[in-house]
Amino acid sequence: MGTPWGEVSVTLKFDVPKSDLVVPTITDLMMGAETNEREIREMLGVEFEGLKNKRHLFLPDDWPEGKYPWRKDEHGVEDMIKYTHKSVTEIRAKRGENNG
Amino acid sequence: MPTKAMFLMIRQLLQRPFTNPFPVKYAPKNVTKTIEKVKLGQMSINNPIPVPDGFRGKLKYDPERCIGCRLCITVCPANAMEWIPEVRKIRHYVTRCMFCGLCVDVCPGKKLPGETAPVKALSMSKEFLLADYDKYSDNLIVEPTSKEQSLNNQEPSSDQK
Amino acid sequence: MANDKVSKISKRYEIPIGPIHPALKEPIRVEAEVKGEKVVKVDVKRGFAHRGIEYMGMKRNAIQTLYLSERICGICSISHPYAFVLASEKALGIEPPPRAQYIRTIIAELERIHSHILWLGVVAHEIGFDPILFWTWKLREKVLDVLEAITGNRINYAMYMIGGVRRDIKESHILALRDMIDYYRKAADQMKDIFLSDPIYKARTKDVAKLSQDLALKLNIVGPTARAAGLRVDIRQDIPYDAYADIDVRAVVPQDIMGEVNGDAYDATLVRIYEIEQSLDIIEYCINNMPEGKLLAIPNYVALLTTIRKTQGEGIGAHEAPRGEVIHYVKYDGTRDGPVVWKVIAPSYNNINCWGPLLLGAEVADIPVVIAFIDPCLCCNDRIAFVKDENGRVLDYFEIHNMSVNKTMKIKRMLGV
Repeated sequence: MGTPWGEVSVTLKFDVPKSDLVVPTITDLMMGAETNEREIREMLGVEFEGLKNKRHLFLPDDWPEGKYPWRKDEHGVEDMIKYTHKSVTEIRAKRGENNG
Repeated sequence: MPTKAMFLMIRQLLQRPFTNPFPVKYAPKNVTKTIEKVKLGQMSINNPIPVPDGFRGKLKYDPERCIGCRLCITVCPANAMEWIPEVRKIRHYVTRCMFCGLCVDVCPGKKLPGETAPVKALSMSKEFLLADYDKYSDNLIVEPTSKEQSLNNQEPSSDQK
Repeated sequence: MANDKVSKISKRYEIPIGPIHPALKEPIRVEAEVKGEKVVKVDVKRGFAHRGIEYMGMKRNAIQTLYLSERICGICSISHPYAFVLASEKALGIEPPPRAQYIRTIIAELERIHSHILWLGVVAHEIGFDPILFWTWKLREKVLDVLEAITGNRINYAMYMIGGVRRDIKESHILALRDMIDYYRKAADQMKDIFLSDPIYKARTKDVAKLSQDLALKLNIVGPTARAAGLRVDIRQDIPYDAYADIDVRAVVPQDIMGEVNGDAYDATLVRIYEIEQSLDIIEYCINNMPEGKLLAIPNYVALLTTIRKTQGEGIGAHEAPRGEVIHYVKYDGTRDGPVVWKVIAPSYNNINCWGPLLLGAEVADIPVVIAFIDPCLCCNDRIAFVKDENGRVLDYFEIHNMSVNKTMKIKRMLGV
């Protein structure tokens, strides 16, 4: 550490069967990983063995059990996005009704 | 004990304000009356600081130059462009626009007879005072005028090539 | 009897700070339990601004997502696109032209200057030094003017593109940049006087928010906060990219400047002021050695989108944002012209970790300083808000709007207006 090109980044990839989503925690080695593990737990439903703080990180405390926003096999991207914008023709038609 | 920060603070108190007091120096007691006075020419407002070249303000649209390629709809990050199928032109919502200028970059434009290079249908103006009470007000929607729309409606065959 | 009195005094009180609080400009909640003036228990709740912006990006094409990423945060409006283009270029195998790389570096360093000066103002404000806040923000105008001249806007620059930049730096811009460098060289000296040698500032920040090197490493602290704790971490030094690979950037740490490390808010100030000077050096190098050439690897956006549609790949882009490292993960699967997976890790995501340990044992008056000293950027950190009625039903936008309209009417009737 402290020299140019001195950092090596390591990516760990795990394949976990959906029936048994348990991964051991690394918070005992690295305290800061708690944030990441809590996020993965609430977003994907992966349980971390040995994780002490299991409160929600980003999602509200009364978030329904068993709903995980990152599981793309259960719901697609389209379910997550709501398109609220209306066309002006619609608005003008409505205004026309109101005026007349 | 006097410190440098104290001198700085006192100096700042004596200096003229760094910012440009736009539109008026002090908040008026009655805003609507002030606006009326300005409209009648009885009062003048401070001009805003000029914007630099390349400033991205409200989008200008020239429907005559538009070839209906829909590239701007493809790249617009905010989905601020709407396709009007009847006239094969676009409608632009200024309230949704994020002023990135991608549509201007991507617009191929049209070469009118007698010109050497195509001129883009879209360009960024320097207009930035865009506040309005209604997000669907006519001021905040850039579209072909109704005259152009009806004209094109009469002869759609020339556009549909 | 005496014991009773003591136990009454030593009663614990709970102080909730946030989600909306004058000391914090963005929504986050800190629940502190205090005993007298000492904080004995802390709980940080985040997620008040979680918007699910990554899902919006997964619906759009890559160019749209790039500009969406710029809207994650206003102050880091170069950091997120920078990390996104780096990740995309790695995934797509595009190399940006050298001139574009230098321009990117200049813009990123300009952003660092304005962000650091903004932080200095915010910290001065948190300790009650409002004239200094106005003074620093006055200094910040210069760099914003230069950014406006180069990119067209003061904030949200819309400058980057996958495989290059969109606008060139012209001769007049270089003159403005040189003028700005001189201005900030003088201003940095002034800032050192005002902040670093001022007894009041010293009293409020020395030994406040003291972060040890060991704890910073364990809590994954990044950016100037980690460097203030004496860790030599800096993405520009550790994994150089673009023009940083030509410049020997070294992490600015307090042990090189002062000879000792405290890891407190004072050291964080020191690191940031010296980093402004470092950024000026980097910009000067870049404008002196700017290569000529193209600006974009694939100038046609339609061709770029076609390339993306045909490519399969994933990439991680890391950029040293003013607040620390920002990491974007992007995956293209060759079916659509946008990312199928997009994940953002902002510096504050890691840096907020240190609030808990640092607030323990701190005094109530120090809470704003501890909170501000990491330069939290919560819009970067949180990135679905739900409102529920008393029966637990999720309300949609129109219902909430009607409820607030009705409440305003009720209040109006009550007041008789």
